[in-house]
Amino acid sequence: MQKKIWQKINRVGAIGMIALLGAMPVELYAQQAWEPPRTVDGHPDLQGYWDGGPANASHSIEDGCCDVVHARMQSRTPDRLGLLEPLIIDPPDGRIPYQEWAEVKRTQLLYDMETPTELGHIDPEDRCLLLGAPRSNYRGDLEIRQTKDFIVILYEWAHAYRVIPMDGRAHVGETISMYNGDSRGRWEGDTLVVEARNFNDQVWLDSHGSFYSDKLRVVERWELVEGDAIRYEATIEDPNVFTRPWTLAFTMGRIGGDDYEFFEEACWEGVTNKHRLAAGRLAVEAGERQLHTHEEESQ
Amino acid sequence: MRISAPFVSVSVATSFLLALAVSEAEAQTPNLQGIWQAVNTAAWDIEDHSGSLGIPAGQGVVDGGAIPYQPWALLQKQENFTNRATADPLASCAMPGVPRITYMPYPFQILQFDDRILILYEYVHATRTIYMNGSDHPDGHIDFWMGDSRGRWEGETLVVDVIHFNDQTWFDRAGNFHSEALHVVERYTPRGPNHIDYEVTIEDPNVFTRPWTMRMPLYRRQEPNVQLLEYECYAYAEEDLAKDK
Repeated sequence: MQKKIWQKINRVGAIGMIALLGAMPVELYAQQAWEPPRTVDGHPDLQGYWDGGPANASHSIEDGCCDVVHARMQSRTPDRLGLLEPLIIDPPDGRIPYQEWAEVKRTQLLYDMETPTELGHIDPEDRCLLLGAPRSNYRGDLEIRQTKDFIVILYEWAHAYRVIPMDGRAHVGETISMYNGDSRGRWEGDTLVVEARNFNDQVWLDSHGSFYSDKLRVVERWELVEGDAIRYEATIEDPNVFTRPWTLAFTMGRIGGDDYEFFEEACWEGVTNKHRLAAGRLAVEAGERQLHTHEEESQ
Repeated sequence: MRISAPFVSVSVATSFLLALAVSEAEAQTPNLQGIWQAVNTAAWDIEDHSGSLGIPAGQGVVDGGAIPYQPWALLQKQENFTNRATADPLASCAMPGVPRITYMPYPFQILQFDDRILILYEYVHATRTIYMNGSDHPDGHIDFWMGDSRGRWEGETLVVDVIHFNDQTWFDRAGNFHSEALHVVERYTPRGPNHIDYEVTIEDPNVFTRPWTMRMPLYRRQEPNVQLLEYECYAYAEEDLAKDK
């Protein structure tokens, strides 16, 4: 009995010692910990220009870009093919957890995009549609501005923007659907948390037909981290399409100097899709159907 | 040169007072932030016009009534009017340019920062950054739909100088137009907490005989839950427009 008590005391003591030892470096670390620059309101200052996520992700968040034909067209070297860093961190296999029917539909879209016969077969990006959250954040460079009541994200691509109210107001009514969705933000410590909903079902998460429904909910976490970077994480939920919530994450680096400016990037004003549709219809009539794939890369 | 001590202290005091005055002036920079909208019929026709199907009648917003077109340009305007159903750049959902975007019947939001003012428009998610850091327009000519905007405060008035336009936008649905030599100067002057006097001077030696001005009030949207939504013109019209475009 006595031995047991002693063992217990010993164990508690050992735990205590470990805790003490553990706490000391943590405290020392905390004293030296990096402090983000802050706005007058005391929140991390995310303002400025940022690069838009890992290269190639907007083509496919699972596989990156591109096939050898595209690579030749864009003068890409072999080391620039594929996904340069994994985007989907959960599930661990890096794949979108589609429900069975949705996987079938997505595969269908991978055929349709090679021979589009209707607009819905063409990547929303090629149609200049607003790309919503999270895709806008890995499509190209972005600019963040903060006031007390709003966080504004401007995207150079197609002059898209998001206004994120920070005043705790409710979302718009359920029947309002938007390409960019409806965003509400709050600070959780030093992390900007944005909840977005009220999406429509017209936009894909990448050029690979990674579609979702109007039940999409996205929770984004924006955290300023050491090295003048933003760690971005988005948890994506859509009970109509996915088997479970899943998460993608990446780090954005700061770009531009003091006098850096975005230029107007008109998109729709210069786009044409009628020739793609005409070619797609001819190909389908001729029975020419093929799957969009990057298989050649591995050869 | 020997500077007497009293002179130094006077000059120090003066610069201190000046600094105070400057910071006070900065503190008093009008706050234009919020969601605004024009309430008039200028988007259809900036000059006097009778009502017609789908178009509300309206009195013009142009000082002195008529736009001072050069003779050839007046003929072009009339041709534009005849063909407006398809020739209006907005029929294919292009960005409306400045100043037309201001008086489209859609709200816009102004956000102010030390070095820039953002205007975000609901209509086709057009945006403008008005640089307030004393920078010059970039070298050009550049064909922007919304132009390049550089601003400054003149007392209570935000003055915005806009150049680098393309020749594709119109001033309204009635075919009033300009060339790429368009030079726009906008003046935003607050008149109380919920109104802005908006004055625009238009200069384009290729099209008009002299500079001319339009003016109108802008109204603060009062709904407590008001926010910008989306009007994605081309997305809605894409099916039709893709037949020819």
